[in-house]
Amino acid sequence: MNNVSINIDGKEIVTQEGEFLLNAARANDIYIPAICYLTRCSPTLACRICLVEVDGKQVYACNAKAKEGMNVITKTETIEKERRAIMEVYDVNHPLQCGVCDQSGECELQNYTLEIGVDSQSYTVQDVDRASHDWGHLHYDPGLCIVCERCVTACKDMIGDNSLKTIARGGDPLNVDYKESMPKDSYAMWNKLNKSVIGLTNGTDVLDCTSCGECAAVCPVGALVSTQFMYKSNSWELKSIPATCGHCSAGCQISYDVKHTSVHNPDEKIYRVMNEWNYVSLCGAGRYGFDYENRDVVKDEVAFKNAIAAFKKADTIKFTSTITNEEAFILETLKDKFGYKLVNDEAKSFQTFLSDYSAVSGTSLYGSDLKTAMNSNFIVSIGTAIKTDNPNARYALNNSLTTNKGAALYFHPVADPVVDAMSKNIVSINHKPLQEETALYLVLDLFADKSKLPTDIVEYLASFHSTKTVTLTETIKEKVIEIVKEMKVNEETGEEEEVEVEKSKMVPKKVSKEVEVDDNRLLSMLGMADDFMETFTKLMKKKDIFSMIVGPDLYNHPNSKNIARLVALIEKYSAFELVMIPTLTNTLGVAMINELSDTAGSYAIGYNTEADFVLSGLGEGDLDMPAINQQEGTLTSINKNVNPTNAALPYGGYTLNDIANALGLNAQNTIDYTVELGSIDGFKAEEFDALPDHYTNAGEEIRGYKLESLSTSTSSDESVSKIDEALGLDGAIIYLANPVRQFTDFTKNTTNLDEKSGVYMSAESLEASELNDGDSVFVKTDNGELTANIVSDNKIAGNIIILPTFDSKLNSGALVNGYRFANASIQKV
Amino acid sequence: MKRYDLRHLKDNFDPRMKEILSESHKATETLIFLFEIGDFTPVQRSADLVKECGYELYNSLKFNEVDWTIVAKKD
Repeated sequence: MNNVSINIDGKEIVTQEGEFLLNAARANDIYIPAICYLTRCSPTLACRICLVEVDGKQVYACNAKAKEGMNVITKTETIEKERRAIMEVYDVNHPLQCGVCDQSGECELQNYTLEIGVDSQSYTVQDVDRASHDWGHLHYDPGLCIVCERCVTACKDMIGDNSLKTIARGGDPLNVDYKESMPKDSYAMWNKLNKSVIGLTNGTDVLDCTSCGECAAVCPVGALVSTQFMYKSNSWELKSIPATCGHCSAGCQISYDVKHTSVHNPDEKIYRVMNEWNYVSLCGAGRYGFDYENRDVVKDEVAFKNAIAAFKKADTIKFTSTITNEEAFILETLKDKFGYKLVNDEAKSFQTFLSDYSAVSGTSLYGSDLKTAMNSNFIVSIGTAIKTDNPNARYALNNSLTTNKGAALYFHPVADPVVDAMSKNIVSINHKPLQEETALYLVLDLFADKSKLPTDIVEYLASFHSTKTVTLTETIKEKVIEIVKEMKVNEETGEEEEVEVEKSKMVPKKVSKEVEVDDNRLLSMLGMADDFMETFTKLMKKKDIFSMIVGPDLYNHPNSKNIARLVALIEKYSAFELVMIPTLTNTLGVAMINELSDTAGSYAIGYNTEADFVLSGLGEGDLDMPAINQQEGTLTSINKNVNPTNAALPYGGYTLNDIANALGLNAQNTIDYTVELGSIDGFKAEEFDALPDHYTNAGEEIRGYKLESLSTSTSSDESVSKIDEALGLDGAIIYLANPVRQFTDFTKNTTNLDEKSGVYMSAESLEASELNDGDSVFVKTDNGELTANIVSDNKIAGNIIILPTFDSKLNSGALVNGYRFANASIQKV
Repeated sequence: MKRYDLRHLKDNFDPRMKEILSESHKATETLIFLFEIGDFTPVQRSADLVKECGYELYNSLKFNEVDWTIVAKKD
């Protein structure tokens, strides 16, 4: 896109050609009122309050695109009349419940009513009964709803659930005189508003979605609220603590809103999580999984002494990636000082994968991020259950499909109805587990620049192609002469008589013809449809920005090294920008900071994981530790950003830093190590308190700093192994993944996230089996076994059984050998 | 301005409201009533009653999820 100059209210600004005027204005600190528009989503034109005048003509700033030389005026007498009328209309019959409304104090209706100065009401219509709806985690009060449709837009364009829509409301039509007397846009807006409320797309009153709560977050009024927060607090009583969500690698910026628990209990409590929804969208875990703090901890001196003794005895520290960069740095320092083996299997796999990738790519980090993916218009996803591995990757995929007219290929063995429903332009390829290499070779075949790709790979890819003769049936139109009988008047006799007349007409006819076509065996190996290439040709039309998302299935694949090299080749020799999903919250940070060992020694300390002596932020170990929402520090996100997070709640116990100090290190606070991170390749020597944490009006994320991707030494070796065609799991299969809203024991410990632990099976597979929801089953693989109850899940499809990892007591990891899939037997007990 | 909370009368608030509207008030006194929304018929019933008693309905609004409020005045 080219830069263009436009003039808004006399101010010359530069923006991208085609950018919406509203975004261009906001990026340049020019204020235009707007209610229904959500940045990153399609304009809905529901509120019409962003009216502006462009070269003498009224347009809506949210959908008018910038062109060179445009002259924009944001306020004229006519526009101000429209805006005043629009706000009066929004106030018609709006309940007088600001005193008890959850949105009061941060309500856009209150704000705009005051700003525009609505001090009298010119319009009326008889009100109708609009009773509230209990939608589980949400409460919808249509009486408060201004039908701006932001909830509908966020759900469709950003989240991809598409669970909400406007439905008919009933009631009196508007007084016809208003059509003449009212400003035109305000009347049109009201006419639609007066007929609508928000309803569910499934036609019932039972909401069945992935429960992210983003619709409630974007609601400008108190119509859609989170049930858990309803009537709990006035907004102005809450103190916002800026933080980074600690549940997955997305690293979403959030704020924990806290105040005292009650008049009787002065202890701080988190009441809700808020987000800058124009720029970041949360999942249900981020939104509702906030009370995972390690509560009521005091300094237990005996336990601390035992911990120090354990550290002196230990030769190994095992830990998970739910840890800050600073804590990872402390562990690394302790390792250097005392020679501990640091063991973190999932981070080690990712670290090895990155290293193998770097050997071909020549860079220490993948080149791209989710923002780039979101702005692309063709996405390929391989090796991730995208919806649950990293919900923000799912949102990027959905947003690309819906707002960029994008298309996508989703390679994954587990069929996902949520992914399939995002768009008709996404093709899911539910290949067999262990066939990820084949999928990557197919991507190389379809997208790589073969003039640059190493010759042996080009030749190998060519070996999958052959020509085959196929019989095509096509419909052609054929001229047919028919003899029909008609009644005609005989001119000689004057009598009507039947005559035969020849008539020609075009009739469709199916013809078969034999043609030679390309046969790509990679497609059939992956079980793809015969007509895939036709579909693919259609999907590729007008596509010019390509992103590839790869995920954790690949990091523990038996051929992960070759896979990492293939991924690097795709990034190098095709137009794809690459982003990798780090497995857990700070897997990328740990992979960058820690030298990890493959095996543990004889005596291990465990940090949030089982070992001989356990430090636990979950409150289940030998010495308590703070949870992430009780810590200051930084977390490294999928977007390669080192994001600051703050302590939302106090913590009264010992920290890892206290242990480190007792072992001879010296730092007053854990965040004293933030600046020390600068000694690690890619990190910067920045003081914690100097790290920024905000979005600009242009939507630019100014948080912490970006990890630097360093050039790595490469040999010229770009060789990759051929596909082992024998690889591929058949039969009964398990897959380690979580249900939506769950990630770790921390999410499991929260009040609002009530997903059950168990053996997850798709509703359709249960229907076809003799098993039922709630049945106790015995699952056995070559590696291990477990017994748990079946949980029916309609957010997955197909026959693969999902074993969650969010409940460490289930110990699902013992059933696989690294790779997330395994053959299994399942029996009812 | 006088405020009358009739919410405790549930659906049967009309007789009391009629009684109040029939009492003598200062000229141009503003009367505010609160009652329960119930099956929504109270909204129209209250408006009809205000008219029947010779008052003008100045406002009729939902007060919260279960309550309604009206403002009536006689010029």
